[in-house]
Amino acid sequence: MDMLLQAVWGGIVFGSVYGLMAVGLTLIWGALNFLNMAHGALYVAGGYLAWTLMDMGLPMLPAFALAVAGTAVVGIAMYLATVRPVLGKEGWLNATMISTIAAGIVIENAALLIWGPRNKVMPELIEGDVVVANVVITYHSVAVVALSVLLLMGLQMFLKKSRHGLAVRAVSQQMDAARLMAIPVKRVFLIVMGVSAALAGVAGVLLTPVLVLNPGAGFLPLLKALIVVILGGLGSVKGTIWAALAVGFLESFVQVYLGASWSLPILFLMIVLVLSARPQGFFGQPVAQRL
Amino acid sequence: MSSHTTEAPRPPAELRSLSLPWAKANLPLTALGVLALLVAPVFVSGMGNSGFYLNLCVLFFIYAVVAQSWNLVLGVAGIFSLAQVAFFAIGGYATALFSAKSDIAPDAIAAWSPWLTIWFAPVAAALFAVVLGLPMLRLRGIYVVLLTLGFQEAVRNFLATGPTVFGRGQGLAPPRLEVAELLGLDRPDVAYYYAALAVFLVSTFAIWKIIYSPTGMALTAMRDAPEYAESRGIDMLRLRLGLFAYSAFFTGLAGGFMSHYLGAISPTTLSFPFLVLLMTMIVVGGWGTFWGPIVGTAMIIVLDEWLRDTLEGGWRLIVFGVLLAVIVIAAPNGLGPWLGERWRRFTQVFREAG
Repeated sequence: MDMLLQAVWGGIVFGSVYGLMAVGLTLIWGALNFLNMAHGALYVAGGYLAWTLMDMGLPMLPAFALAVAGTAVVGIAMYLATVRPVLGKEGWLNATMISTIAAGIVIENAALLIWGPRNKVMPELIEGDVVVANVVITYHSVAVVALSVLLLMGLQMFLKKSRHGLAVRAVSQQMDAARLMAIPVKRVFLIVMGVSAALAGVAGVLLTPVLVLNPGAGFLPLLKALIVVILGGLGSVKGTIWAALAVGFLESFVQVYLGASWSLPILFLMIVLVLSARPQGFFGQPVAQRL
Repeated sequence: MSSHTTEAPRPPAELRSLSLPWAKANLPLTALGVLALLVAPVFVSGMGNSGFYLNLCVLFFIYAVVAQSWNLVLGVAGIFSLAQVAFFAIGGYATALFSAKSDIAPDAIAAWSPWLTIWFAPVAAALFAVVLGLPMLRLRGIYVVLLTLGFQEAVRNFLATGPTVFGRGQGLAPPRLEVAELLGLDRPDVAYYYAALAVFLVSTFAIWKIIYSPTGMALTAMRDAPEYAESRGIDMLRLRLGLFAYSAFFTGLAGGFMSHYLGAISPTTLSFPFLVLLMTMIVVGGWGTFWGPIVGTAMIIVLDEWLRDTLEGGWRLIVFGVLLAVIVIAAPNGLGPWLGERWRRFTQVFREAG
């Protein structure tokens, strides 16, 4: 019973953070139609920016907010430098994949030069924990879940209710028609890139206290986010959130009952099986209504 | 039947290379090149730091094999697979597993002769390629990226934390191949040069053969117009699976050779920076072409060596990352075709004037 509760709570925590990571990827895929292989590097950048700002003596919350904004700036700069020039050209799908891999390697090695290879310790949002039915629940993990849910709900609201969100959805459904309706497509791209990078930054700030913060720490979150995105059906925000929970629960249960070293092989096996049976993912929808 | 249907018209000269992709190589030039590679050590071994240059040559030969076979999948067939480094490592482990057992390292399975076990490397890599390819090669684009990246990480994770036969994080230490004794040479570095050259020449010939063959034509057709290729009767999955295994075979051989050359193989072989380095070799040289990966490997190895001398550690990969991005943006076909195009435009001015 204790183990079950432990696994359930772990699933909720993992699921909400994977949701944050993966929604950023899915937004970009839906609107701009490229795979951002530098998403993990942006996650790392968010973590390091927060660490540095606090190291300089800023209080925690402003430091985190600034770090998230900074990650958005890094993401937009990366987009302008490496993605914008090839977008829409012949063979752009492969080209954007390679150029974002290159951008990711540059960001990660810049972090290596600036901050060194050693792990940095990020403080938790709220110290302390509470024990419920023999399961240790840290206040930090509660805050992580609450923040993730709030942010994802906010994102849904932004996409569904606001004018900018409407523009993003229009662009992701039919770019040419959106352009004809006088939607500034280039600016929408920048908004999407900024929001996506900011979400990666939030994930970096929230997750690095639990995991580790070093220059290569973004690889696993990127891989997990990719799994979630594909499982949820590419470009579908709602599907991505459900898939994030599913992957989070699976991973948490495997860790509690089988041990941590099994989580990746089993996840990999599952994604192979799912893709063999349903290549469009669990929640894959017709192309026209992805966001 | 009228007579003119039986006699096929000869294609015009400028289309002949396209209509006959399996045309012959330039034999005298090839022979000259091979001869130059064969006699090179005679001159190099007299130099002061000949060991350094011979080592660079061995690295070039082996990495060129990996880059070429990856280019076969990535460039010629257009499958965005990131699993090549995993096949390289699988090759290395396959031979180390059966040759590395010793009193100080009892982890491995056996201590057979490396001359026997090195053949396990290509076979194991090809087998893994088939197992991975069966679910993966039916899919396209982003799914292929995910599955191959996941495969690489799963293999790395398994080798680093799995059963102790793999030596966990330390890896294994396979014995060196006794090439010098076999060839009757007194310098092992020269002997290794010739062994690596043999691996390089055989693999390069095999890859050249595939690119300039009807099969290569079918692969390119599959990349550029999949629906049309399939409607013309190309069995997509079978062809891709065969190519994937073929490419993994030579990569595995290179990995096996490398593990014996270095006398070590560990999970760090599966690092992402190594993958980026190989990708840079292919992209810089020009992917999808025969010469691209070979030229790219030579350029990157020289550049890498120069950077090692002039810059501190972290800058190396930043330079490669920037180079990779700049090439993809400015010269997507690679540096070789890009320079060729500049040269053609440059000379066209004179041709038009004259």
